[in-house]
Amino acid sequence: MRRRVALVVALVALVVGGFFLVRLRAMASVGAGYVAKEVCSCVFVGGRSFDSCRPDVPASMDRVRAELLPDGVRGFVPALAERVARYEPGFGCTLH
Amino acid sequence: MTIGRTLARVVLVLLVCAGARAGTALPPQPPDAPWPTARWSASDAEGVDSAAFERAQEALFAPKGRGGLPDTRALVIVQGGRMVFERYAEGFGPDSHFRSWSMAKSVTQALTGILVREGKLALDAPAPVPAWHADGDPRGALTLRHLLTMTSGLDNADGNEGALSFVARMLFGDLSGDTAQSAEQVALVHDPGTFWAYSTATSQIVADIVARQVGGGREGFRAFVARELATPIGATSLLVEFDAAGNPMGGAFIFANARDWARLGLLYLRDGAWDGARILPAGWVDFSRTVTALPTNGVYGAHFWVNGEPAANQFRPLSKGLEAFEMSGNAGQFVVIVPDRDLVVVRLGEMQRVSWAELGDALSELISAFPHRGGSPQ
Repeated sequence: MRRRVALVVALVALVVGGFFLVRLRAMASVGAGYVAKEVCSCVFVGGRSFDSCRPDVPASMDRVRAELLPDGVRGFVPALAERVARYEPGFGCTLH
Repeated sequence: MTIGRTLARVVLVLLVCAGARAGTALPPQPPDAPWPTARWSASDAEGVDSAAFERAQEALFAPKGRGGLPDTRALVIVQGGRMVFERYAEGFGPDSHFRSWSMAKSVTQALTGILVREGKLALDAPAPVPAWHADGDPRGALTLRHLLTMTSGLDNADGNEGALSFVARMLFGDLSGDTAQSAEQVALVHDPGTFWAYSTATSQIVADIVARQVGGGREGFRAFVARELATPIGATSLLVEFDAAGNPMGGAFIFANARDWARLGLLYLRDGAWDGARILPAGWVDFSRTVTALPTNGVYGAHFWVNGEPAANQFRPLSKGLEAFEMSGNAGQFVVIVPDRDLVVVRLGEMQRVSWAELGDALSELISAFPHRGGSPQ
């Protein structure tokens, strides 16, 4: 009986944990995309410095890291999500 | 009084009422003000309440965000077709490119208008979206008018679920690879024309319709924007971004410098005509600033906001009674067009410290500092 209860509890924990993990990954992916795209456009289209652009991203996305690339910006949340936006002259930044 | 004369009076009253819905007549460019195609002519503002103006300007530029910059990065004012004020935050200037956010929707609307003028698109014909035209698909009844007035009834409204909302997923998340397909592959949840809901996805659909009509992929779209809109009005900094599938980001990602945003505003203030040439079809600007009255809408025209009585789900940033219609975007982007004062006010930047209400109050005070045409400020 005890083992059965433990099994059910573990199963429920797995399902609930899985649900939240999927949700967290989806949110992290949007955050990574936002940071990559907005900072890329700010730097390469707006002509501003990376350091000036970063604080314009809302504080709710402070956990998303940004890395300046030669032709774009990488936004990422370690182990959860990563997106890259690349700049092309005449077409601005595109999220990949 | 004869029945004929009574009827004539009724018709006249109806005509006047119909005209009044769109607002004050749009003022022509004064004969002594050169069209700002190559460059803006500058002049001093006329009849301005300078104390109120200074207060409003200070309210816009004083609050600084977390990067140490003022929330307002650019403020440009055009009165009587001349630039009467221009100010930038430190580090920004006339060559700085500013992002549109949702002001892009109004630019997409202008591109649509150009194709309507050319007879290549029609407002009330079934919208040419191939995915909707299978036999029996109810979306086949959707028109450009439904899309431009945000009354499509499609299940792609922006939503308020934050990072998991449709708009966030489409612009930055799992739906961002092919935004047109993401926006179009949704079901109807309301009968077309019966329900208003703000939808960036809908503007992506409109931009996709324009792109397919123009042809030539990204290069074709860019050339069309330059040839038909940007070059004729001198807004040569205008830049449209694209998604990875090559769809124009006409719902959110267009850039231009502040002077060019002012040119776009002036194009609408001048009824879609520019230096003797018609860019937008006759009546297009009145269509833009006519509210489709529905229980969920009191302030939205056709990809432009109209200052009026908001529905319960809506917000009016500008003061009650100001007659204005505007391009507006996230983080407080504004191109406000004020026909009865012959005014365009461009405010670009962020909204880290100020709220919509505070920004709206400052802009309202700024606008109110300018006189009505032939009158005094009030």
